[in-house]
Amino acid sequence: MVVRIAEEMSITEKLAVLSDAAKYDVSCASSGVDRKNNGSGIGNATASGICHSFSADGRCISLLKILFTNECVYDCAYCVNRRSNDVPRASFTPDEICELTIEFYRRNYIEGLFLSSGILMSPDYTMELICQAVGKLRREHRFQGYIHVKCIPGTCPELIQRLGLLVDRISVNMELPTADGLAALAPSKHRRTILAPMRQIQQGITESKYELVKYRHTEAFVPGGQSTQMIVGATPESDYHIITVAENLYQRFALKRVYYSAFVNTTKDSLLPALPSGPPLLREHRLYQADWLLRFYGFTAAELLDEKRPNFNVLLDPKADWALRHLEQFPVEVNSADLRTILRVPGIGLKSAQRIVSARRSAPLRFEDLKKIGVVLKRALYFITCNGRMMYNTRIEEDYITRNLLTVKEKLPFDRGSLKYSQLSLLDYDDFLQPEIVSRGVSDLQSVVLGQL
Amino acid sequence: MELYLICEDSLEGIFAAIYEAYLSKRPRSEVHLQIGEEENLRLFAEYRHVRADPELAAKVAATVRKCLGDDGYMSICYALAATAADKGEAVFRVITAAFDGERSSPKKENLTSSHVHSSPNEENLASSHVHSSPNEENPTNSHVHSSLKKENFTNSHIHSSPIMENLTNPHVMRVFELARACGRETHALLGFIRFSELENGLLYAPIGPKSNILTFMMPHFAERMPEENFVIHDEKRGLFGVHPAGGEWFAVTGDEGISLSRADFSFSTQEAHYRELFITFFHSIAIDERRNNRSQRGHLPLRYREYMVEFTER
Repeated sequence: MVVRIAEEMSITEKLAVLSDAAKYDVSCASSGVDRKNNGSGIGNATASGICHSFSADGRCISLLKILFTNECVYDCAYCVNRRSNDVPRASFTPDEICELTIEFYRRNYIEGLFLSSGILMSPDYTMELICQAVGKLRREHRFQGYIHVKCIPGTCPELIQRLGLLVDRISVNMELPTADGLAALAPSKHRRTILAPMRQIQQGITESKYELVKYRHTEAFVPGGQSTQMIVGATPESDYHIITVAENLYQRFALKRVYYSAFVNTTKDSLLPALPSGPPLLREHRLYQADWLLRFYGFTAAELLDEKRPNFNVLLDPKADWALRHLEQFPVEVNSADLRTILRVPGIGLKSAQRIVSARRSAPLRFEDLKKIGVVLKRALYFITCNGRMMYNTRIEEDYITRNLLTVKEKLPFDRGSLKYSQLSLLDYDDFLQPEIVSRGVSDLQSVVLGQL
Repeated sequence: MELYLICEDSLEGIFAAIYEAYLSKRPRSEVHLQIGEEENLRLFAEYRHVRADPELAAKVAATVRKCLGDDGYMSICYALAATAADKGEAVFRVITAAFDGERSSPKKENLTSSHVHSSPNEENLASSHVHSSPNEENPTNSHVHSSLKKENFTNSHIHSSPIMENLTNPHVMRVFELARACGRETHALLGFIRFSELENGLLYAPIGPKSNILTFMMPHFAERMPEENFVIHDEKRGLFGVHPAGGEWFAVTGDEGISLSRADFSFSTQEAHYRELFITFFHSIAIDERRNNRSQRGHLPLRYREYMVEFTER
């Protein structure tokens, strides 16, 4: 095993290399843990999470997101840090990581540390180094802020157990939605070595919660829960495929979050799609919208898509799309419908729905109240009644409502005009669609996720 | 005749005015709260100045807290941190509505008669008064009622008034909007505020928020950094939040003889180094292929940026 030895680098150069190499990791959440400072050292954790800045791509900066090292023995086709890629290499020392974290934290630049890594020697060797760095931060510096560590597939259970007691969140990346995709692009990673630590962490969290009830002062195991990430658009899976995998991860592995990362082609490997018009941002956006519907709005993956319609509508968000196919369930009377039904109305979000349900206890709501509460009436008006009346004389007809909804410009987090991505990226992945993947049934999909455990 | 109570723009001032409003025994709809001097005086109205009084304010605060619950109380406090001129009136209307338990049309009710059907909270206001309260003119009567209301009171203590949920009430809606805006700004600044290390190791952070939110921010940082000496400076209001290492934080106003500006400080030798490191990080973490200034501006409005090292330097 040859470890390339780089020339001595300054900490600034190292930070430039190792944060640049970490930027494709999506997760930056610092939420889900409410931990008070114990009166010494530095740091606490806020349940809501805190964003400290926003980078030029509009993504939140909450954690100091860095790699421990970008050296790597693996050669995954999609990864900028793959062995065969000619990029400058660097590694931090545990002391450097502690210094950066503490000094950034004191100045309120960050909410905590996000530590991922390339693989130096072996997964265990690397995770051991990460454990040391994080242990030092927690014990010597008594740092009580948020720590998120990326677990390298194939790490031994003992190390994960040790790590879990030091950090707030562990994530094991799925990388690609199917085992086939993984085999094609990341031959050194296996579905089994990804799902095994996920299961271990899930069990650890459950046991830890139980123990915390019994003995209040035991250390919590991964109190922020675990998350994972899937690359979207590097392999031919359909949206239906991806959200079914996500649904399974939520239901069977109790994951806190599944992140979707629009594929950015950094390696130009021949196995990968070229994506001449940039990363598939619209597709990523639709997947996040659907993800919210799964987690907070009581939808199931099979309600949103099916084998005949395996991909999301480019022009309509998944909820509006669903509503238009189920007009028989509308209009909904906001003053009497239950929360679950109200949540399914396009233009009504989670908070608005909760406010509606509590506000209507005092007095019946009118359309102007709904507007102030935060309902997007331009979209909701086709689907609701207030005290038995529609807002305008509108028809419950698919074509009519679709036409009207399309005139209301959808708020996208990026510019639809300047990025011609949307339509093009759709074609990009439609070209990939191989019939055998599309025709797989749900039960097969589940076995794809679960069969190997 | 309408009564306008003129008070100063502070929690003590506004709460003291609410106390005064209850003492005045006027019909509620005729009493108004006015923050600062009125420029356009009304002809048929009485204007009365109310002095800020921490003691009375504490009583009102305690009662509001019991009646509206912790969340409702926080909404009131956040709303009062706003700059909007109508905040005092909106809060006053919400509090009276909550005290009355929103019985039939609170506007028509008379503050004097409310003594007879005194709401649980007024009772509490009065009894917590050390000196004999003006509400106790008729001791026997009020005694009967107070024992009756005691039950009511414990009830309302457990299920605090859901007044803040009643968004169809325009005053509640207004308080809700104001509180939401201040809450959002506070939350945003908890992340966007930047401390700089001075020569003596003190951490100093200037801010210029729209609302007066310094006191909402201090507990967060005091809890987070117990072993640091730090100061947050609201440059717009000349207000300082000071936290001595290992001690309790306190607020100091510019009136108390402190006037400082950012130029008065010299930074520690390490400060420039860590700033540079963070700026390096800030630029290298962005993905060029996803550049999106509109989204960045949406999440991080320009007005915050003049205080953030990653935007002011380089």
